Amino acid sequence: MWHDIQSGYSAALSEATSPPPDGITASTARFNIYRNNVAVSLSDALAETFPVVKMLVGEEFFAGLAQVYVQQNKPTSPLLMEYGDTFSDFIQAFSPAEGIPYLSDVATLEFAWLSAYHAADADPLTIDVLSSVPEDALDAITFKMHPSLILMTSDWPVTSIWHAHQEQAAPDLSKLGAAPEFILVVRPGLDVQVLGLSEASFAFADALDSGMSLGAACNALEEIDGFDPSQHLTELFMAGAITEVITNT
Amino acid sequence: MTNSRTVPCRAGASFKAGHFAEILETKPDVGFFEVHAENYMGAGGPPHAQLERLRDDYPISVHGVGLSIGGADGLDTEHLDRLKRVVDRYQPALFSEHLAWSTHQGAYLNDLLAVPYTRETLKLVVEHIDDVQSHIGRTMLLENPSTYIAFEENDFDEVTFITEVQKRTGCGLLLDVNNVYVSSVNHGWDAQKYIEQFPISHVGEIHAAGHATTEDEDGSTLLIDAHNGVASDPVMALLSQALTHRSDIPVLIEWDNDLPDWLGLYQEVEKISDVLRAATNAPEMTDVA
Repeated sequence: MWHDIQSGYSAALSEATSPPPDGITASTARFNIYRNNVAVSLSDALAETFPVVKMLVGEEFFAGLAQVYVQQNKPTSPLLMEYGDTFSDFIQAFSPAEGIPYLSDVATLEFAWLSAYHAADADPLTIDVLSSVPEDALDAITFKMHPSLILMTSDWPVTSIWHAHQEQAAPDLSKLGAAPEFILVVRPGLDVQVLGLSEASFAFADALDSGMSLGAACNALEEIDGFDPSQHLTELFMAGAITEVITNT
Repeated sequence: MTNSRTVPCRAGASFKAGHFAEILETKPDVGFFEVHAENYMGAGGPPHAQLERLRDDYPISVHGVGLSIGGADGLDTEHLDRLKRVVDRYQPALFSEHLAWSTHQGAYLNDLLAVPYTRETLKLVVEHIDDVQSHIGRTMLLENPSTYIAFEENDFDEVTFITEVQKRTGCGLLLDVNNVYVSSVNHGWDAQKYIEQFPISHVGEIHAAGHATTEDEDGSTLLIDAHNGVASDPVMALLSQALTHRSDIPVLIEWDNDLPDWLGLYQEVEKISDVLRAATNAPEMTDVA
């Protein structure tokens, strides 16, 4: 039965050196061409999705990291743009990478970048749209955020690390402290934006993204240091993060 | 605007995002561009913006690489839906997939893996192609694979298997002359005979590409379908041979790895154009069915 041969064939592709499985007549060298194709093409896909992770650890370390990941995690669909969704968690648990505590969060950010890159298109609104909302209806408005919007936090300055690597492969990171970051990723046009927000601004974006009305978000967050809703709202419109304002009367 | 539903019988090239700006700027004389379907299965973003723009100027061929038509499991219906969305949106002049498998029990292995040619797999492949054609509502082209291994059980040789699949499904064929050469060297087949026996009247597209060379354990030559360089002389000779029977076929130069700049790829397009021109001007050897 082809199904049984295929099961053996499939399993043997993830083994490093065993001879070809039952039903196949070929030298190990021949079978290894397939093993190599699978391993190399999937490692290459990870390198393409996580270029900053690769720069941070170097080519050789990345090859080892990717090899173990590929061995244990095959894509679950033919869409390589979705491959590596668990790479960040894998790095977190990968003890040889312990020395770079922010590596896992950089991987999360890079995967967020790719998700935003391929997300649905939508035209962002400018803040003028609010001038058409009657003043007494402002409290109740809710917002539809751009389909590409992703909000994430990190204990490390990952946007600074990420931005530094956009221009050079080995930037000086010595001046970066262990400051937490609040990050917004969005693609209002064709270019993905990676922005660092203040804690208050992030909490506001998160509240609006969860469907909270403007009034409710203001009430819930007014105690946060530096909370300034009109400034935060301007920031979100400027980022192209809002695609619809819904008046709830 | 070019009619997107027909591809001229001319030389085309693989489309790579890195060449986009130069293609737009220089408007090279290329018969068509071929894209991998899976790269356009995201919801939106730059890939779609580029392809929308490209199809204003060039006919498009959509080439799927992830359907796993030779897999023992049923086809992935979600993936079929994605393919249908790409084909519906871009209305490509050609749509092709491979005689190979790549997914088993939910794991996608990102390679075009070999299928044995037995009565069992013939039935399976025919069912899968029927599914594809009815699902996306059009005829597909099936591409002959390049392979490195053989199976203990075989009921047919490759050309007989493909001929039979074509007869039973009414699908068109994509003749990859590089794959013919790679498999012929790897398995000791006669490549010229393969081309002579191939049902050329059903071929809707030809692929040419580069391959890499390595060694088997006994020191004999093994070829790898690497798509990483220019088509070799024997591959170009097989192309000319195929075109002596019919020269009204679009021919693609496939290049996926170690990409040259656009000019480098365009030079290969021109080489293929020369071969096509030579074949068109030569008297045909046989009538087309």
